[in-house]
Amino acid sequence: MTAALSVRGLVAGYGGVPVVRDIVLDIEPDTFLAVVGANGAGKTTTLRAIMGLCDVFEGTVELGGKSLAGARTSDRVLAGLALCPEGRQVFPSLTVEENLLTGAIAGQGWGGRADALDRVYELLPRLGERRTQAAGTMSGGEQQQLAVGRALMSDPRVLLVDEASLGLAPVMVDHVFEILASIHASGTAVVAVEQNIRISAVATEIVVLEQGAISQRIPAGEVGHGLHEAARAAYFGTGDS
Amino acid sequence: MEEALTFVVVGIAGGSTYALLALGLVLVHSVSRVLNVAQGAFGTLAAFVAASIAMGHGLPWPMAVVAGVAVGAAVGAATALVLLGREGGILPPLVGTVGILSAITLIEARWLGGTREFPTPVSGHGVEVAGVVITPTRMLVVAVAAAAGLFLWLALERTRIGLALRAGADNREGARIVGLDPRRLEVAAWSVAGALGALAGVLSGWTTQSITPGFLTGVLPQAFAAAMLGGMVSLPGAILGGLVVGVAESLTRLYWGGTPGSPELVVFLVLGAVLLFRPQGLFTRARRGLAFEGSESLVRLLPMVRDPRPGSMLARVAGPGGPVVGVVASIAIAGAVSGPDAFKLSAVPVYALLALSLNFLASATGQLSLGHAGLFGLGAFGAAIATTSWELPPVLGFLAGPALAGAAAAVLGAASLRVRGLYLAVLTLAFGVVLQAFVFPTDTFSQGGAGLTISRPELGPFDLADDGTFLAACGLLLVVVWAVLRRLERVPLLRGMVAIRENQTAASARGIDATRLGVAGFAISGVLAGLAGSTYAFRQGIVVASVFPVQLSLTLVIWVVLGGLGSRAGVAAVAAGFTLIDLYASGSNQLITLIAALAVVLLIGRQPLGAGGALRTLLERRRPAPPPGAAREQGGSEAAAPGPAPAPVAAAPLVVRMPDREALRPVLLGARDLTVRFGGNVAIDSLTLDVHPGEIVGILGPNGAGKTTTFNVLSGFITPSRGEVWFRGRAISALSPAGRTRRGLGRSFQQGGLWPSETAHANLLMAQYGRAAGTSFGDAVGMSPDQLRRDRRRAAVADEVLEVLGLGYAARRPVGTLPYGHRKILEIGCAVATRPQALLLDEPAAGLHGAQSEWVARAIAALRRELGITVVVIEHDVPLVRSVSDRIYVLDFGRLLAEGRPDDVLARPEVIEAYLGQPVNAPGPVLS
Repeated sequence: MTAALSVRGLVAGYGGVPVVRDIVLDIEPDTFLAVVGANGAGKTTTLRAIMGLCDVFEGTVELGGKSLAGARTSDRVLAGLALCPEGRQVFPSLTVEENLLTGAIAGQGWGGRADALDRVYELLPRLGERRTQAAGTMSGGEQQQLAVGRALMSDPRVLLVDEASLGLAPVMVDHVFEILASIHASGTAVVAVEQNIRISAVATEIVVLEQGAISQRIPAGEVGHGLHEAARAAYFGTGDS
Repeated sequence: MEEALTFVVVGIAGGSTYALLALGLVLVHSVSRVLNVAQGAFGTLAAFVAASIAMGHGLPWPMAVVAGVAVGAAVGAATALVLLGREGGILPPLVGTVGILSAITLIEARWLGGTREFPTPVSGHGVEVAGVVITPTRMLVVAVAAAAGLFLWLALERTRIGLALRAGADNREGARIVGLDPRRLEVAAWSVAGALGALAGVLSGWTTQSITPGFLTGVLPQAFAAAMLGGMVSLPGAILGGLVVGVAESLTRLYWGGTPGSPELVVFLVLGAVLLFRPQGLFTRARRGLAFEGSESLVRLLPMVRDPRPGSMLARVAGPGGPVVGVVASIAIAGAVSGPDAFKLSAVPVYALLALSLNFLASATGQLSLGHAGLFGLGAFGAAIATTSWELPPVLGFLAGPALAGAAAAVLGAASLRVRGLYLAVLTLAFGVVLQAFVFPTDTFSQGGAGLTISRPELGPFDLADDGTFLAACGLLLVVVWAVLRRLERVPLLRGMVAIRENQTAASARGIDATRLGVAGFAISGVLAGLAGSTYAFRQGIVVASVFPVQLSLTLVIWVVLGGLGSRAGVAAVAAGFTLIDLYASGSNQLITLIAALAVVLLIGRQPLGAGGALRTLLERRRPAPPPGAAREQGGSEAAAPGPAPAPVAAAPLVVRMPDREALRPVLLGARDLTVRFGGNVAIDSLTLDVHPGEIVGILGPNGAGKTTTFNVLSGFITPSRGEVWFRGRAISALSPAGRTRRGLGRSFQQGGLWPSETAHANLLMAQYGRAAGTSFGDAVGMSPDQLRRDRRRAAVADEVLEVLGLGYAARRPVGTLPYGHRKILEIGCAVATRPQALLLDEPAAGLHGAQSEWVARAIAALRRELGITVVVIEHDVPLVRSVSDRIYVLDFGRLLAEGRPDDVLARPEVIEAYLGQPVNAPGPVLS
C-alpha cells in the first residue's frame, strides 16, 4: 500500500541555510506520528517544508505516491495536506465561523463547506458555541481548537500539527491531545510535533529530533520510561558537561 | 441654514469620489502594505477611455462606463503583477505607482485627447428637498457610489474570494498557511481597487463635466485623508472618512469661500490631527500590530555609515581631492559655456542639490517625504521675500531660504516622532499640497499672483548677474554641500540617525535617543532643500506659486530611487541627467518622461537599490571573499569556527570577582516582585531575582514562560504593571532603555539587534554611540578635536572586536549578507562594545549547533574572566546554560519555578515536567 505521506532525505531551511537534514518519514493512513524534540531541533521547519512554506534544498515529499516538488501551498492543501501552525495564526478580526471557512477556500471542499462546518462543530462543540465571536477575543485554548478546526475544513488526508500544547495549562494540553486522538480515530493521519512528550500517550509512533536530524524512532508499543529518558537527554544534555 | 444644507449635499457628492478612492487605497494597503499613488490615475484613465469610446465610437454611455471600469480593473491587476512580489521592501512598489501615475497622465495628454468634455448622462431640474435642490447628476453620483459600496460589501461578506481577501488583510501568514496564494490575493485586491478608482474617475468627471489629464492627482491627499480616518484598515471607515472629508471641504468653501486653498488646508489639519492623536483611525479600535504596520522605516538601503578615519582607497578617490576636482571642474565648465547655455546648465546643480536633500532625508532617517517641492518652494520664497520685500543684503537673503525651509522641516521632524513610515509620507504629501494651494498664493508670497522678483547681486569682483559666473557659483555650492554630506557620513550624528532608521529597538538598547536626532535629520534635509530653493530663486529672477507642484515632489522620489537611496553619486547623476533631458530635449519631453516612468516601473523590481546599488554591487565583487566555510553553514556539522574566545575587547579594568558563598554578596542587578500583564494575560507573575557582581546567571523555561519579557522589563522596553528593578544600588524603573544602557546594563537580542544594511564595522561603531557621546552639536558632528580622537578610538575598538570575533572579512560587508552564525556572534560583539557592567544575553546560541554553540559558551565565560562583565543569559540550549552558569532560575507560566545550582535545579521533577510535560504514566486528568 502506498504511504499517505512519504518524506525522503529532506534537507530544508531558510535563506539558503539548512535547518533540518536527512529527514525520512513514512506516514500511513492510520499513523499518528509524534515528532518530539527540544526548541530549535527543527520540528517546525520539517512541517513547513512539507507544506511548501520554506526552502527545500534536497529530498522529496510525496503524498499518496504523487510528488509535491515545486507545488505551491495552495496545491498541497488541494492535494490533501493541512497545517495547524505554531502560534495558531488565526484571523483575529474574523468570526470563528469565518475563520473555519477560510480553511475550505483552497481545498476541494468549498461546495461541501456546510457539511465540513457541521463535522468540525461536532468534534469541537466549543467552537459551535462561539461561532459569531471574533477569533482574537478567544482564550489560547479556544484559539488552538479553532486552528485545528480550520485545518480540518479542507478534509485533509494528513493533518500536520505544530506544538498544539504551546502555552496551554496542563489540563488543556490533555484536552487538545484528546482532540487529536479523536481526529486520528476518525481516519485522518496525524503528524504532531511536540516538545511535550505526553503526546506519546496518543501517538502510534514517536520520532525524536535532535539538532536538525532524527536521532531515534520508537514504536508506540515500546514507549515507556525509555522515551522520558531519551527526551530528557535530548533537552537537558547528559548532566556531566 | 439652507445654504449650509446645500453645501452638505454637494460635499456628500464630492465625498463619494473620495470614499471610492479611499476604499481602493485601504484594500491595496491591507493586502500589500503599499501606498498606491496611482489610485487616482486608474480613475482618470477609465474616464478618458469611457469618453473616447462614447464620443469617438458613439457607444451608449453605460457601456462606455463599463468598459472604463474594466480597463481600470485590468490596469490595477497589471500594476500588481509588475510591481509586487519582489525583493526590496515597500518603497520600490510605491515609486512604481508614481511611475504609473506619470505614465497614465502622459498617455491621457498625448493619445487620449487631453482635456475634453465629459457630459453627464442625466439631465433635468432636480429634486427639491427641504428647500435644497439636488441636481440629477449629484443624485446619480451618490447612487452609483452607494451601489458600488454595497456591492463591494456584499462581495466581501458573501463570496469565496471576498473571504480570502479579508483573511489575507487580517493575517498574511495565516492566509499563506491555509493555502491562499498571496500573489493571487494581491492581484484580486488591486483589480478591485482599479475598478473602484475607475468609478471614482467617472463620477468625478460627471460632477465637473470635463476631464483633464491626471485630474484626480490633486485629490490624492483627500483620498488618503479619508482612508486614514478609517485607520487604513477599515472599509466602512474609508467610506465614512470620504464623506466627512467631502462635507468638511464643502463647508469650508461656504464659510471661508474667498481664500484659495482653504479646503486643502482644512483637509491637512484634519489629517494631521488624526495622524498625530489617533493614528489607528477614528472608527477602528486600536489593534496591536496591524494599524501600525506601515510605520517602520520605508527604505532598504546601501551601507551609509563610513569609517571616520581617512585611508581607504575609495575614500581617497572621493576624498579631499574630490572637492578640488569639483571646484576646478565647475570653473572650467563655467568658463567654457556662457549665455543661454550657462543659464540652462545652472539648473543642473539646483536640481541635483534638491535630489540630494531628499536622498539625505530618506537615507538618514528612513522616512520619505512626498512634499519636498514645498520645502523647495519655501526656500525660493524665503530668499525672495527677504531680499526683495525686506531688502536684506543678498547674502542674508540667500540664507533666509534655507532657514525658513529648515524650520518648516524641523516641524515635520517633530511630527515624525509620533507618525512614521507611510503615514508620515501622506502627511508630507498634504503638507506640500497646502503650501502650494494655500500658503504660496497668499499676498505675502505671490504679490497677488504676479510673483516676487529678485535680482542677482555683485559679490566683490564677481557679478552673479552674468550667467557664466552664476553657473560657477552654483557648481561651487554643490561642491560645498557634497563635502559636508560626505563629512556627515563619518560622524556620530549620522550614525545615530542611521541606527534609529534601521532598527529603533537596537538603537535604544545601545543608548541612542530618537528625539533630537529625528528632528535634526529633517532639519538638515530642509536646509538643503531650502538652499536649492534659494539658488533657484536667484537663477529665475522671479518666484511664482505654480512652479512647486506635487508632481515635482513625486518626480524627486523617482530620481532618488533610480539613483539609489544613500548613493550621493547615483542620485546626483540621475537628477542631472533628467534635468539635462528636460532642458535640451523638451520638444519630445513628454515621450522621454513616459519612457523614464515606464523604465522605473520595470526596473525598480529588479534593482531596488537603483543605479548606485548596481555600481556598489560591481565594486563589492572585487572585495575579498569570506573565509572558506563561512558562507556555507550546515547545521553545525562544518560550521566555521569563528576563532578563539574573545580576548580583551577594550581596555576595561580586569575586575574578576568569582561568586563566593561565604563572602558578603552585594546585588548588582535585582528585580522585586515584577508583574507584567498583557490584556488579561499575566506574562510575569511576582517575579523576584538577584544577580550578584561577577556572576553568570542562566534563565531557563519552556516557550512562553516569560523569559524574554523579563529581559524586556529589566532593560526598560516594557513597563511592568507592578514591581521594581534595581541596578548598581539604584532603582532604575524610571530610566529609558537608552538610559539603562548608558548606566552600564547592556543587552543582546534573539534576533534583530543589528543594523542589517550597514557593514559589520559600522555596526560596531553605532553600538558604541552611547558610550561617551558628546552632547554638544560640535561633538555630534565630530568637529571637536577631543571627539575626533574618541571617534578614531571607537573605530579602532571596532577593528579589534572584529579581529577577536574572527569576522575581519566582514568589516566592509553589509551585515544582512553575512551567514546566520556570524550575525549571532556579531550581535554579542555589539552588546559587548557598549562596555556594560552587566550584560543580558537573549538566546545567544539560538539556531547554532556544534562548534559555534561551543564558541558561544566559551565567549560567555571569557566575558566574565577577561572583562569582568556580569552575565545573565536566556537560552533554550539547556546543556549550554548548565555548563556556563553559576546559578539558574527556571520560569514557567511567568512564575519562578526553581532557583539554585544548575545540576540541583535540573534534577527537580517540577523542572523536568515543565519541559517534557507530566510523566506519561502519571495519573493525568483525562488521558487514558
